[in-house]
Amino acid sequence: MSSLIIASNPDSDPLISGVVQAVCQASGPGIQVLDLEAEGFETVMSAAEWRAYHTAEPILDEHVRTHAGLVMAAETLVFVYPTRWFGPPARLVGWLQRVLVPGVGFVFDQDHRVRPNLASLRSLAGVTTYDRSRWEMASAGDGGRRLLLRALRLNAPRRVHTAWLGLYPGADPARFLTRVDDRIGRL
Amino acid sequence: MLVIHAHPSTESLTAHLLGRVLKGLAAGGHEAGTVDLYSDRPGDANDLSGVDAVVWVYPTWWSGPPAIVKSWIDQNWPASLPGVQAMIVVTTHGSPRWVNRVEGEVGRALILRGLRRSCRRHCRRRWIALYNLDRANRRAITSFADRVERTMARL
Repeated sequence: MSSLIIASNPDSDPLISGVVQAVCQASGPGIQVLDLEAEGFETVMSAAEWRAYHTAEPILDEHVRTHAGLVMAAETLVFVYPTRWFGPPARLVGWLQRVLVPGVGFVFDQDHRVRPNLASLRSLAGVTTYDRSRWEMASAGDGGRRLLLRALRLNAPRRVHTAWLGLYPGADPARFLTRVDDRIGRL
Repeated sequence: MLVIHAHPSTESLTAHLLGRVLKGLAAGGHEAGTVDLYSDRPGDANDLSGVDAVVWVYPTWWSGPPAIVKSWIDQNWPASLPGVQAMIVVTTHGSPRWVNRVEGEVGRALILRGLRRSCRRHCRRRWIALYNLDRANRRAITSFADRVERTMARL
């Protein structure tokens, strides 16, 4: 089984690194980690990429092409990041916008409607640490969870398994890592 | 007022909408500064003191603002901005409104609910959005641009 972890850890938080390790252990062999900071993944879509978006060749960058290939082949996608301003860090937002273009993740049909294209995907999960209370996240809306388990999920097969794990301020990180290990292991 | 604009291309609909926003604001007698996140140097927009309204002009990609906007927010948006009494978003969506509802309207929640928490308590919110752009005709686009300009003039 091929699993892909997409991790963004802009402040090098050791807890996020610990989560990535726990996810790797729980997933077993056949796992690959994309550490967006270590790879120096470019956050911002360029003017050339924007112009290419609705053409037959929307990908211009080799780095993006490699990641797109990995996404299309993956059976499991796990996103790991610290929540900042109610959603993923900018680099992860940019990763989705640049990698998941027409032909990857989704396609346009003849009427220009979006159709799902993540045919190999069986499990989709997100693991995050929150910088605000559960109440604040609920009242403003959890942008990361919506983006991954609603917007991205629309492009997965109907029976995809999903999981969401969040660590709120004040909760015990050690217990959280155990929970991550257990839940990701059962995906 | 501060207008925050983000689009990689000057030939885009979003760039045209920025022009309409500024025209409308001028007609309404509002003084507005503009930050263009794609062409200004980082740091140009860091001074938010004295701003009483923020107008966001961007295309919606994957349910929210372009990553360059989130990057600016992550680096610049303060925990407290009590002078801001209006948050206004002008945006376009490729897909229909119902799809965006299902996806959770991430950009709308981020700016009008999340970032608004920094602003004055009874801060006004406006959401001015064109949906279904991928299949919209010229008339729908023009009438949206007219609506944007009218709304700005009347703020």
